[in-house]
Amino acid sequence: MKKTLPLVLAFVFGVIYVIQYYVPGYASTWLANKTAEWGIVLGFFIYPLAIYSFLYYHLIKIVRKAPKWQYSIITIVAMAGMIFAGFYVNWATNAKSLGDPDYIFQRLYDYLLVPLEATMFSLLAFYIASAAARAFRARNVEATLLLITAVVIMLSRVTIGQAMLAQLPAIGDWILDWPNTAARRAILIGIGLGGAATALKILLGIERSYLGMR
Amino acid sequence: MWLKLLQDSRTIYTVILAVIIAPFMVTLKLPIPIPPPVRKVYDAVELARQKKQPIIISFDFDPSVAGECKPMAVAMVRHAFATKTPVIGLTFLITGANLAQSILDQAAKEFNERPGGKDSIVYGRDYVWLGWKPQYVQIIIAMGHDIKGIFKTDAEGKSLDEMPIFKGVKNFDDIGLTTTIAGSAIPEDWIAYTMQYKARLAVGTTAVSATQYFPYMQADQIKGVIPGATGAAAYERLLVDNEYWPTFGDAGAMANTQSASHIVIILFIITGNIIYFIRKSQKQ
Repeated sequence: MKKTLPLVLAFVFGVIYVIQYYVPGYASTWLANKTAEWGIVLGFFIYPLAIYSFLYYHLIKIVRKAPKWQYSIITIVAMAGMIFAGFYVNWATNAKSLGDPDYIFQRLYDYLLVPLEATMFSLLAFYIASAAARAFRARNVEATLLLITAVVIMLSRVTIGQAMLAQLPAIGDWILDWPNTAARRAILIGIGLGGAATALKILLGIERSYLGMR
Repeated sequence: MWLKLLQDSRTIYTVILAVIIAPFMVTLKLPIPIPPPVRKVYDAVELARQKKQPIIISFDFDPSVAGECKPMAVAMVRHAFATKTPVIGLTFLITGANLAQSILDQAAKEFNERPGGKDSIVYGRDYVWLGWKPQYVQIIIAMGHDIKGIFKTDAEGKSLDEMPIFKGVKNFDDIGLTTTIAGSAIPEDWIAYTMQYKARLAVGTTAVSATQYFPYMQADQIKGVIPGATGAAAYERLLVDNEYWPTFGDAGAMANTQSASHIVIILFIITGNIIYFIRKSQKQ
């Protein structure tokens, strides 16, 4: 039962979506919509589970005084703080609704989360520059071709490229439209075939690794 | 010693930092090219205006990629508001919800504060914010049948049935254009799951992800692509050229920085290769 029921559920709900795709009548559409609504409801159950795993992981780390356990305290406090602020729209401010700049949750989001995430992503500029300087070498013909193409694309995508050579954007567009698209299309066809085969294997219960089974 | 210094991380980081900051302090007006994929998105919004249909903007990005994605979202919302094309906003990324709502509210405020623009943009008539929902694949499929059936209310819990923006809107057939702006793979799912409804779809994404959507554009599965900050700058130029908005936004300001940083990275590549060949000849 423990093994069979999940497989039956995967088959039944998978088939519902296959039917609504190929036979989009009233009944199949109604069923697909109801399944979607159930999907949303079930989706919310992921969050208590996620919070439980999160707290379990960090509390164990704190109790055992594992390396860098102090960061776990900060993580738990940050999460608890955001949840608390999220529930109290009018707490310590005159905020009327979600999205109000006076809302304490919005302030934490604007002045903490936004700059923190932006900073982490901005570091990429430095790493890319460093990697380009150290690793991008014309070691052979293929690497040289890649290098020249990369330089042309980099120049064609920015304003100074057009100022240097008016035809550069058109050359860049040609590279993106033809060689790039041909390569991408080949990859996409491969992904599509692989996805369809995996979906079929899941529906038929052949692929069970998503359930932790072999 | 000089060769070592040129390859040192500290040198590279210092030069990059200087090159990113310096262009913001000088005024250098270089022409901003308009790539055909961006023009196609712009034209698709214009077509929605002509058909008097609302557009959907799915703000599927979070603060980490806001530098590239926010300017294009702002430009599209301004375009829609300037042409009185209603905007239905939603997100499938929970950390992007507040960002998306503030983009819509801020744009509405800007239009309403313009001389003679009081109440020109009204919530429920000109735009609506549906907020975030989990399980986005199911949501997209359900939207293809009945948008109000799956959303029922906006993010604040107001019934969609009472809003003029949803008058005559049932599913993607009644939507002029659906745009997903994302730094992740969410647009792939938008494309895959709206295909059966023949929804008119466009994608805004980071420059590094843009090329993966070109095959879909060539196959007419999507109407256009806005690639990164340069794409957003091109969209801003279209708004300025067509007098929908008086000035360039954040992406226009970023154009010089991008030019400078690309030039410097190319110089780094050239220098790195020169050093590589010098060392190679010394070994031989």
